[in-house]
Amino acid sequence: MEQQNSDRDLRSLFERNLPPVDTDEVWSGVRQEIGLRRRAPRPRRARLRVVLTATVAALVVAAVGVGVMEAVTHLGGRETVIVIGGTDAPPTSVSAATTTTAAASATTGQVTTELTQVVQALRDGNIVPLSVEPDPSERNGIIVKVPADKMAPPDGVFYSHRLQRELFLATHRLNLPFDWCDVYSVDARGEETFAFGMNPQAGMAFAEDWSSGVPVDEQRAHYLATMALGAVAKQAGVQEGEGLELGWRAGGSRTLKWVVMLPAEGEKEAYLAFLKEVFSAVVQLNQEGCQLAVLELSINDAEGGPILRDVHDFELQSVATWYSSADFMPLWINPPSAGPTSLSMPPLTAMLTLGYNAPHRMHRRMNSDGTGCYV
Amino acid sequence: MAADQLDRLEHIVREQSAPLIRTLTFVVLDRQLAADIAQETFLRLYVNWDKVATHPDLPAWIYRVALNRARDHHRSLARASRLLERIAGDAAISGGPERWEPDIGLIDALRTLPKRQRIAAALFFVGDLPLAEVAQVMGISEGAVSSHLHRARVALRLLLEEG
Repeated sequence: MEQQNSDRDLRSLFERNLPPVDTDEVWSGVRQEIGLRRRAPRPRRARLRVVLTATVAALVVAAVGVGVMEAVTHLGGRETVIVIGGTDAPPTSVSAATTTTAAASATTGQVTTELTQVVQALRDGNIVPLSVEPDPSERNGIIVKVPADKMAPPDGVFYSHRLQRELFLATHRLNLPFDWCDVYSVDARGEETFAFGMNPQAGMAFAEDWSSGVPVDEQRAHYLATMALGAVAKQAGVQEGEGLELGWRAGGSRTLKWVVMLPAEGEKEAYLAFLKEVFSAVVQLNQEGCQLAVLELSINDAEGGPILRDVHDFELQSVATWYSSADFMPLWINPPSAGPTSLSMPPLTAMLTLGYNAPHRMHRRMNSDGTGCYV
Repeated sequence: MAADQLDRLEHIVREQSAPLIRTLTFVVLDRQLAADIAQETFLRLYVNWDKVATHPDLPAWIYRVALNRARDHHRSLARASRLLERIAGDAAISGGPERWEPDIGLIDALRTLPKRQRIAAALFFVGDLPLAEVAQVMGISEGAVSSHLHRARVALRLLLEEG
């Protein structure tokens, strides 16, 4: 009964928002197209091209019949599932039957290779999915299932960004055909708890000149980051938590992890003052050759409770953020419409270059109740 | 195509175009694109008339073809530049000769749904297709459709509660 009411309400919601459709216009358009197709004689050159194309196609089909079968299977390809076991896997029926290496059942060569490449790319980025499989309803779509605890807020935003990053990089570097990915998180009982869709070929973009200056080695980069960001923290009155951790990602991107704590008194002011400067400081470091591709920032309150989790990806121009309450909603989620404000953001040039006010669709927010969405 | 066949095609277009375009609009979130896809679908019907006219479930065939076309459009869009995509996204909602001003909250909520959930919701709530037919159009089981619909309901119900 409750579901019927809900469906009725939802139908009503859609009905209130239906677009107008002029069926006369639609038929007129179709009729016109039909007329054009009937009337327009195919030019001689086009006819020749059709004949040539058909001939070549026939020859190709005859020569590589097996390949065509494979491709057709790939398009439909529902049976190929790469299932991965490992330390990340909760005890589900999916993982129970797996080994630590990717295994495929009923596969075609091409799709197996592509899915294996995805799995490998994710593993290189420290993402161990439960499974990677073709999406039966998307010709070039895949479904990636990951453990729910990894995606859980607040730190899940780091994991989901990493997942998106590695998929994006793999798709571009390996020229994989996937242009849609539904990501499902699966809990210990094997139930899907949360899902979001993403396009591995979009939503991120390589930034030009995000890093300049003479590249410095890791030790020097760490030193410079410690000094510069330490000064930002001190200036804003926030306390550094576990110190800066500089690591490497697959493909050579440097990732900086940082935990800071707000003071018990004046935490909001400190929070805003800190956010006002921290990203500009990383931009400056990158202009000095530090090559800090990603900043994973954790801000806690004085007692260690999570306030903000944020990933700024300077190399791929994307931002993903979780925040604990509207009081701590960062500026880049709802940027002021115009003009300088007392809560200023990074310099406009940096914003335009690095996408701090990136299109909303690029921005994933994960709510405190575990749901999440692009906003 | 004979005159009586053309009459039948016209009847089908007039009968199916409104629900099809409305359903597609909530799938691709762009009214003009939905109308273009619908037109391409009906042209496909015309081109394949001899094979398709006697199809036992023509509406399902039309929806299936239209969703495939939508996917192709999605793919070509995906490869366009980000800038172009953003412009297209911004212009999408208000496109078309007659203004359409949907609830932005609904569009945003649909945009956040994984595509299969969005398709299932559009076919079920807008196209008014029964569960079995949604499953047939999407090429998945009824159970999978139920699962997608359940998740879509949860996401959209939040919108209703907020609104």
